[in-house]
Formats: sequence, structure tokens, C-alpha cells
Amino acid sequence: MKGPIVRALALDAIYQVLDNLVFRIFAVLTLFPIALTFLLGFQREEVVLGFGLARWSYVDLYRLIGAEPGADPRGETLEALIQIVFNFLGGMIGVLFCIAATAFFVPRMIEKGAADVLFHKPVSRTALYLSRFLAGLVFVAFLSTVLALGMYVGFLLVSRHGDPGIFCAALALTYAFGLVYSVSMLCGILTRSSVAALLVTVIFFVVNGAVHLTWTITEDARVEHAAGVEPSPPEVRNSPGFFARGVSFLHYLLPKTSDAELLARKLRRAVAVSLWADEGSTLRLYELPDGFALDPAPTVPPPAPAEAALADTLGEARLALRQEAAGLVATLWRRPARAEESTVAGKTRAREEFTRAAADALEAALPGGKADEANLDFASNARGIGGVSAYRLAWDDGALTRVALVFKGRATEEGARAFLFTLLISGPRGWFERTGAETARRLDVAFGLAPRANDLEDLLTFDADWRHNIFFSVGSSLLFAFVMLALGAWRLERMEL
Amino acid sequence: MIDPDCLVSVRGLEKTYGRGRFRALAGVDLEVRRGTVFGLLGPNGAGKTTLIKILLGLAPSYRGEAKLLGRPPGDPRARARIGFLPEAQRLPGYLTGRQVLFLYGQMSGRRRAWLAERVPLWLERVGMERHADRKVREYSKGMQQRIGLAQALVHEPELVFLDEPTDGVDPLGRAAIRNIVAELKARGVTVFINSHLLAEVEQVCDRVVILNRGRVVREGTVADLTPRTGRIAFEVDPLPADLERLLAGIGSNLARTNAGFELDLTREEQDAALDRLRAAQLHVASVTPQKLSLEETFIDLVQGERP
Repeated sequence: MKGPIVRALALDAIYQVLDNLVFRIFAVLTLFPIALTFLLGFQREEVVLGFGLARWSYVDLYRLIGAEPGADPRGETLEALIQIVFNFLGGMIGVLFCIAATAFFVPRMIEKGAADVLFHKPVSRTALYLSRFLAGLVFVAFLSTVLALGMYVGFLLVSRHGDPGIFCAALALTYAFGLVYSVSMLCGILTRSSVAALLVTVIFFVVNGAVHLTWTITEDARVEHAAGVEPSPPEVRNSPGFFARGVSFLHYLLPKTSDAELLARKLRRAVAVSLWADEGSTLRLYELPDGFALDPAPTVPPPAPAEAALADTLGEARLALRQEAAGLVATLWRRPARAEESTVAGKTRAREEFTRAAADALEAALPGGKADEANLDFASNARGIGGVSAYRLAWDDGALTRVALVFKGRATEEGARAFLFTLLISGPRGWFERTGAETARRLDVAFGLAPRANDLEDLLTFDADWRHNIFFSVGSSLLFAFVMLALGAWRLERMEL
Repeated sequence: MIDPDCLVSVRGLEKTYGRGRFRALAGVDLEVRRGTVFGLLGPNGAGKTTLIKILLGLAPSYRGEAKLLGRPPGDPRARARIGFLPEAQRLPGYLTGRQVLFLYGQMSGRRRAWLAERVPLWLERVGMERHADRKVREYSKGMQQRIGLAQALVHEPELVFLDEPTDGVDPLGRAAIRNIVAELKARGVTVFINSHLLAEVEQVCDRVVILNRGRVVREGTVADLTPRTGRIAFEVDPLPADLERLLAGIGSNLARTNAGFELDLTREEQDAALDRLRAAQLHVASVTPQKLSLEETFIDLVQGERP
């Protein structure tokens, strides 16, 4: 295709978008969250309106909605704001409105009179069809990029918070919209009706979301048990029924729009600069909690626990963090998960050691009857460290109170066994009762373990098995969109205009 | 062997709709040669628009052979060299008239810089220079038709299809469009006009095909289709009261008109009539042989075809 034709199609797409009333309304609406980032300064302890006109502490703000701030209220608030804007307002409501605003692009193109003018030009029908797809993408990409750029600049200038990962959210929004819009395009071609295209696409969007939500719930449970958090309940061990198989089939077949949010989170984490990376595993240290200083292993050997017997269950020391003021020392230990066997319904299978089993082993290894005293429980946030399944042990050890957080981490080497990490925090006796929970949460944030949408986020990687593989997720979704577009183009090429 | 002067060639073209229930074209043969202004006439449902759509690649399924500039319909190389003003066109309402010309000119493969010189000229030529920067959706039907005509011509095509070009256009606009067609002809551009307005076709076309019920029922030059009737109109000043006595024995079917009279005459009788008028000291302002109008030929042909 000649250069002038390509430029004409691109320009036409832009003109069509700029003239769209919904686009203009959206363009104005995007200014509100952007304005918010310029008007509100998110400081460490408080939110400041208009460079000092009013101030609210995070505690007061959270109590307004009946909640308590976490260990990092500023980070949590900023994250919540980004999630609300991009995932809820953009990913749900925004996508629905964008579908409505772009549903007429194709039906209007093939209306009698319009088609005659357009399709007699030396441009293939497929190219014209794809130019309408481009117009839809431009529509969303422009809005989400402006939104991301505005919020990024606002956060950076006013709150001194630079998060380039926010652009990943904009990218994910465009990606998710593109997947759904390919369905709208096909419906537009098949029905030649904007209303029909809109209705079918909205129904598809809702059904697709429901399928993935159902799959995520069942898969999350399956993965959690398979990962060894705790033994599988009978209902999970049973082979999946017709409904579950049907949901899985649809999940693999349909575009995985819900993965867009997970991918955006992973991308954001990938572009975030880590202070320390654990060699051989995916664990990273993103920021130091207040007052803590870093002693990266092995240049500064971490202080070993007093009890040498613990060495087997803890493994090798990886990292030490010190908070001199409170006298806290946090050491991170790592060992490979052991191979175990499980017998279920008379069948013996090999599996990786459960986190719970590792926590039990650590408790049993505590010398001097400490096992009886230790309080073994799920760690903070009810489900472990920031959503990563973890167990917490706390015990007094002479003048010290020790807290161990046991959790699993993935190996970077393909096919290698997962690692069991223990974050051992030692401090003056009684420290845990006073500030332990908050300190632990601050460490969760520091290791980038919090918050997770679900356990599947961790599994969604480039080298995971195909069900959780990013290549499969993105590839099968793009394949779906490609098939939709190809069917639409095929139909258009044979259409009597 | 491709004839470079045969811009449109159609052989045995057939087209059906509704799974073969309705036959729009039933074996059409025609040719349009370079430099001609070609008129395609026919009643509603004759297959005129279907024929144009096949030629432009808008209706991909048909039987028979159709060639546009020596290439199959839909070939981009051929389509880059044609212009088309469709009947009931819908230009993008989100563009201004000027943007429409740039957009469609670029889609025909012309560069923006090339178009920048010609777009203002075409806007002026169709009388739209004052409205060029208004959105198309604000235009009246006539204004849209003018911009549509400009979009069909702005890239300077070799062959232009005009489907009902004067539809919705006021008399001044129609005259302007006729002038444009005459200019195109003078520049050697081939024009293919599909119109119901037979008088206009008669004025501008060199060659005409009349299509009825999917078949060509008559083809020829305008002169072929508008033969002399043998009746002569005389403009005489003053018109004598005893005209019947003066022309007694010459011709037949004498009838008075506003400016004179007319009657059926042979060539010899025509000379005799003139001699008698001059002998009576009358001033003969004009002598006009009467022809069948294209409309009359058309109606005769179409009504004669009715089952």
C-alpha cells in the first residue's frame, strides 16, 4: 500500500475519533483524576490539598470509609487510586463506554452511499476494515495515555512519587479493549447494525468476564493446594466435572481480558527498580522500610540464629536488614522445597513440600521446648504476606522475641524446584506485641509481595506451564482477536456493497 | 490483446440477486472508448447501478467478463485511475469539505503536496470555496453533491463514473456540472454518466446505451437515437392569417406554433414552401428540422419492451 494511502487511513482514523462526542466527553473526564493528582499531595503521613489549604491524616481518611491504614498508607493510597482509575473506571466502565462509542465505526463504513465512496478507491477492503480497528485503538490508547501521563506528572510534581509503571496500566487497558473490540468489529460486519454490534459486544464482555472469574476462582483454589499451602480438600482432588471442564475450555478459547490487569501489575513490577534481587529466585527487594538498612549477602554475613539446629530448616542466609533504633534484625533464609510423596485415594504422587509443612518443620526444630510456646498461624493479612501464602511463627528466645515468616518463592531456572523462604525478624523481647504486625507488613511491601490480585498473578510467567504462561495468555488472546478480525475481513471482502 | 483506448469492456455480464430469483443483468455487452462522454440510461431496476458497481468492484460476484482500464474490476491499479460520484453518496460527516478532498485524493494515491495545489481549485470549481471548512454533516444535499463531484475529480482520473450527478442540485449547479463534464471531455477524460435526466444526457453525451430489464435495448450516438421525424418548424415574421391557403398543396399536417408553424415535408417540398413564403414578402427567421428527443426514443423503447 502506498504511503499517501496509509497516511490517509491513519488520518481518517484520527479525525473520526476526534469528532466522536463520547471521546470528547471522556477526554474531559480524564482531566478529573489528573487534576486530583495535581491538587492532592500524598505525603508520608498526610494528604495535602492545594499545597497546604487543608491536610488530612491517612488515619482520618481511612476511617471515613471504615478502614484502617496499613503499614504503608501513602503507597497503598496511591496504588488504590491507580487501581480505581485504571482497573475499575477504565477497565470496566471505560471499556463499556468505549465499546458503545466505537460500535458504529464499521456499520457506518458499510452503509449504502458511504461504502460506495470508500470502497471504489484503490485500497483493499481489509485495509479499510483494519483502519477502523486502528481508529478504535487510537480512541482508547489516546485517552489512557493522556490519563497515565497526566497522573504520572501530577504524582511526580506534587507527591514526589514517580511510578513509570502507570503507563503499563494504560497499555493493558488498550490491550483489553482491543480484544473486545475485535468482537464488536465482527458483529458490525455480520449485522451491519451499530445497535446489534453494541449489544452483542457488551454481552460478550460480561460473559467473557464471568468465564474468567469462574476459572480464576477454581484455578486459584487448585493452584493453592497444588502449591502446598495445605493438603487438598476432597472436592479439589476430585477430577473436574463437566461444568469446570466447560469453563476451562471457554477460558482457554476466549481472550483473557482479565489477565490484562495481572500483566499490567507484573509489568509495573518489572519496570520498578529493585534494590536487591535474590539470585536464582524471583524474589526482589523494592524499597527499604523506615529505619532499615541493607546488608546484602554475602558481603556482610547475616547474623545466624542462635540455634544451629535451625540451619537445616532455614537453609542459607540471603540477606540481612537492620533497624538500629529499634534493635531489629531481619534475615532472609532460603532452601529448596523438598520432594515429598502424597497418597490420595490409594494413589501415590510426587509433590513439592507444602509451605505449611515447612512451617511445621521449623516449629518442630525450635530447641528447648519452644515448639510448644510458638504460635503457628497464617501470617498477616489473613492469607499470608500480602496475599502470598505464608505462615508465621513467633516465640521468645531469651532476651529476644523472634518472628519467622515462611513463604514460597519461584526459582528463575526453568523446571527447578521452588524455594522456601524464611524471613526471621529478631528484636528485644516484646517488640512483636508492640510493633510486630506493622513491621512485618512494612517488610511485605519492601519485598514487593503485596498486594496480589490472586495467587495466579505469581504463576503468570513466561516459563510457567501453558495454562499460566504469559505467552499462552497473550498469544491465545491475540489469536482470538486475529480470528475475529480475519473473519470480519473475509466477510467484508465477499460482501455486496 | 488489450486495447488501450477501450476503458470499459463488458461481455455477457450477468448478475442475479436473491439466490438467483432476481436477474439484475442478463448478458450485457458494451464498450466505452477513451475520450467519450458515455450515457447509461434505463428505467428504475434496469441494472444501471448494478453494472457500475460490478465495474468498480463493489459487487464481487457476477458472471461474464468485465474489464476496467484493461484490468479486472477491483484491481487497485485500475481503481487508482478512476473517479466515482455515487448516487445517494454519504460522505464522512466528521470531515470538512476540504478534508474530504484531501482524504479521498490521498486514498487514490496522490501526495498531500500535489493535492494542496489542486484542492482549492476544485473547491472553487464546484462553488464550495466559502464552505470548504465546514463539516460535511452541515451541508445541504446539493452542497454534498458538489463536494462529492470534486472528490471524484480531484485526483485527476482518466475515467469518471457519475451516478445521477445532478441529483439534488439546483439549476445553476446543474449548469456548472454540465460545464465541468464539457471541460473533462475537452481534456480527453472519459466520462460515464448514469442519469434519469434524459435532456441532460442528450446535451452532454456522445454515446448512449439504454438498458432495460438487465439487457441493452439500444446503443448508439445521440444522433442515432434522436433521428429526424421529417417534420420542419418554420419561424416566420409576420405569420400570415391565410397560411393554409399560402401553402396549399405543399406537405401535410400543418400546425401553427407560437413563433410560426410546422408541417411534414420532403426536401423538395421544403424548397417550394420557402419560395412561397418569400414570394409573399414574409421574413423567414429559421427553418428547423424536428428530431425525436432522447426521452421519446427512451419511452418508445422501454414501453415497447413491457410484457
